[in-house]
Amino acid sequence: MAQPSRVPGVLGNTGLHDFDAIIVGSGAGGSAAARVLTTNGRRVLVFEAGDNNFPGLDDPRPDQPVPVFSNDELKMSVRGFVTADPLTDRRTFRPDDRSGDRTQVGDVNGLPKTVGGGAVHADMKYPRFQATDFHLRSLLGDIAGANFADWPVSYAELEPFYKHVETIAGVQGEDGADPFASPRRTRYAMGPGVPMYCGLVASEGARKLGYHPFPLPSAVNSRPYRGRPACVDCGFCSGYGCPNNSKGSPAVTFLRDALLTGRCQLRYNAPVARLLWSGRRVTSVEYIDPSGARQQATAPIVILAASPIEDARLCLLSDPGGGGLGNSSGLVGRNLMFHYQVLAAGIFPQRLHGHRGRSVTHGMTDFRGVPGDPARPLGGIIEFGAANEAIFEAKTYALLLNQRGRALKRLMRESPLRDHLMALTMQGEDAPQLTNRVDLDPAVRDVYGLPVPRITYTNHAFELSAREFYAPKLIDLLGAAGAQFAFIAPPDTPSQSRHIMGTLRMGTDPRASVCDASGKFHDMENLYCADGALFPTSSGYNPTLTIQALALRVAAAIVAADAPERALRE
Amino acid sequence: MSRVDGIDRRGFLKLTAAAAAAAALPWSVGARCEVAPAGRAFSPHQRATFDAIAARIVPTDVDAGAVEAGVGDYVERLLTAFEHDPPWVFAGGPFSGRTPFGDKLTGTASTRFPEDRFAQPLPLSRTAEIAWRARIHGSAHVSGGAGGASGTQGLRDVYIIGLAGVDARARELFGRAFVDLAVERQDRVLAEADDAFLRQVVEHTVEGMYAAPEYGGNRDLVAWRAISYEGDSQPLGYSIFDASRDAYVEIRSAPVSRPNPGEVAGFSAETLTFVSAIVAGAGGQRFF
Repeated sequence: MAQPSRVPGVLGNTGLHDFDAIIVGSGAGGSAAARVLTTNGRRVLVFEAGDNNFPGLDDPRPDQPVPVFSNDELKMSVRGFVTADPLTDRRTFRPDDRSGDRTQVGDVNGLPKTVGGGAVHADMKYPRFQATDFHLRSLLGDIAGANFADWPVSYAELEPFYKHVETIAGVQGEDGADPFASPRRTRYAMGPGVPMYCGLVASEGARKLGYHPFPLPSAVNSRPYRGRPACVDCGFCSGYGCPNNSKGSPAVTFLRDALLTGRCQLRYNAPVARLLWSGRRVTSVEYIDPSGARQQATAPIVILAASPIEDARLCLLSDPGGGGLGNSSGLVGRNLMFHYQVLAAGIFPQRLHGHRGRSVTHGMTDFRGVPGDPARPLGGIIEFGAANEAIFEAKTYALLLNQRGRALKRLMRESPLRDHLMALTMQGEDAPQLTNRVDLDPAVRDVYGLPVPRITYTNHAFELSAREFYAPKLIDLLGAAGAQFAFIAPPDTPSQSRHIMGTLRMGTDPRASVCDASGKFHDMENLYCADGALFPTSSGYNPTLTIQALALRVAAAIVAADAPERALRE
Repeated sequence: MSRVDGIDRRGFLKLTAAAAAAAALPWSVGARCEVAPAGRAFSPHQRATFDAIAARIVPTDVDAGAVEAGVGDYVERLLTAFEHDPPWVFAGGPFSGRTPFGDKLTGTASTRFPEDRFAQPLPLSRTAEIAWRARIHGSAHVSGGAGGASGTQGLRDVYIIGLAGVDARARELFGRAFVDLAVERQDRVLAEADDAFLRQVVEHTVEGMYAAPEYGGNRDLVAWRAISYEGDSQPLGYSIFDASRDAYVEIRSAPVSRPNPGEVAGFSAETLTFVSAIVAGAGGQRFF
């Protein structure tokens, strides 16, 4: 039976010294890969740049872990408790390479930097992609300036892995409720939880206009599941770590299972600085320990799962002066994709109390569109949400809208921009573009002295026109739902979508992709990627379920190349 | 129409009804918040100046303003964060102890309360400490180089310089210290104050109002009560899964899936005018 670590900076089995695989990153992809490998007898060393906020994650007692997350807006949202700090972990941005070296420095679509990774702050919406999402290049043909590519894996091939994630994480949903969903061969692990009032109000409006709203599949317990309690609808969900483990976050599901096998060691506050390699083999991993000193670790296999921007950065840091590790294609860092989020806000006469509930309970996929149909361009899933943050609301009135004194207090009491606010968000698919990419900033360094990632990003007409097409329909939906006012929020530049994909795209042709269909780098014998960096296209759905399913498949193929599904163990 | 402190009677009734509804929630009645006294970053005059500025941003009217809420304590706690060990930057978790656990057998609140973990701050990692020392004390105070944080002026300096600047402007315009001016003259001084400093004070004032009280402000939850906001709700939350009935029970006075009971919908005339202007400016639509 696994013993919790008593060594600071380490979770899991501190007695392990030889490893079969090193995984860089303990997020959605890294956790999934760790569980597959350890449940198949492999010893795994996981590195995590951030801190651990799940004390007892490796403690087998049923009341563990006891997270330090809390319903605390100041901590999570204002002071950025788990987010990569924009001072010490800054990034740089420019729209294109005609804009000089950089136009902004600071937070550029930063994700949580912590044990459990980006998924820690997600509200865990877990829809599957549609079958057509896996071969959009074949369906769409050539689009000028865009670099669509078919995935080297189909929905059917991914389905057993989707099913496994949905079982281990615990995904709630209503079977058959989404008429646009691709066929599923399994039922959801549990039915939908408590519907939020804002979701019901929006759904009525959607139905009036002939759309098909439904409870969105989510990895949140609607009942006690696999030793974790049911959600209590505390309201601090999207953007917040879960205080009671009722969110099926990768940390408390996949990663915890891996740690409890006794075959996993996780070193945190330990960012990986570079990979050391010779010819086609990675020989060791150099990391920075919690005191700031450089250390090395070695294993026959290395798997990158640090999220796409950090994965690409690591490949570039590992080959200074060269073109980047594993980069004979020239594509490392390229084809970076976010989601072009369209936010339609409605102000209702009644209070919607979006601060009660798990942020979003309903949505629709009517605006995902149909490839090649100009009457239904490819947009994305629509989430029906509301607002829940009082400090953010106050800053909106006081700083953005210059309200002070009695006027400020009146607005806070009446709360038009929080308690009366509904937010419909479309996760618009971003077209992949060669020019949207990550490279190393030529001058700016982080707190470790390493060159920071520079993001070069401009949206394509593909997603800009989808926004133009669907935004008015979102306004109409708000009106049909009973909104008194409605408007489209201006887009963020740079994007702060917190959905990041591409940079190490998978494919069958080594000239047109970085990794093969199994997630292995074409150029390297023992280097893999197991996260969203593999995505050739971004689809119009929340990516995390697909990240985990793909990561499972990569790890399963390492264990059982001929029959990867056999490596999946409950 | 009778007026109460500038708000018409109908609005005042709505306010008190909202406050009463909020007060009925289990965790706002008799809320006891044991908060350690903040360290001192300001002299008495500096603190009085800060309080006077904050009072112009969030004044006292029918309910508490920034001064009663203790916003000055919030700021002083932040500026003296490193006098505490661990530094007072992030409150702990998962629970504050303001709400109890739910009872799955009865579908109601239990009588068991968790300990207040918000009361103690969390340890900072090495890099988080670098970032926050730079923010509060300035990057010049960070040993070994601040890496990406270099060139940061600390908040302690920002405040000392900024508060002195407000006083200087007050003496320049009206020959007296800011705290000694009537509110109309204070507003004129602030209109000419350094925009960046005033924005920082506004930011911290609303943070101090609406953050959890363990950070020093929102004393006795006065600010949350005033806006009908329950704040942190775990572990009770708003729904209890009752295993015996295989169904959820919602908190009746604070439902998830239904409208607020007894609510009177709509906005005051001033708020409607304001919202109309914002929406029009954003190119939006008004339906009715």
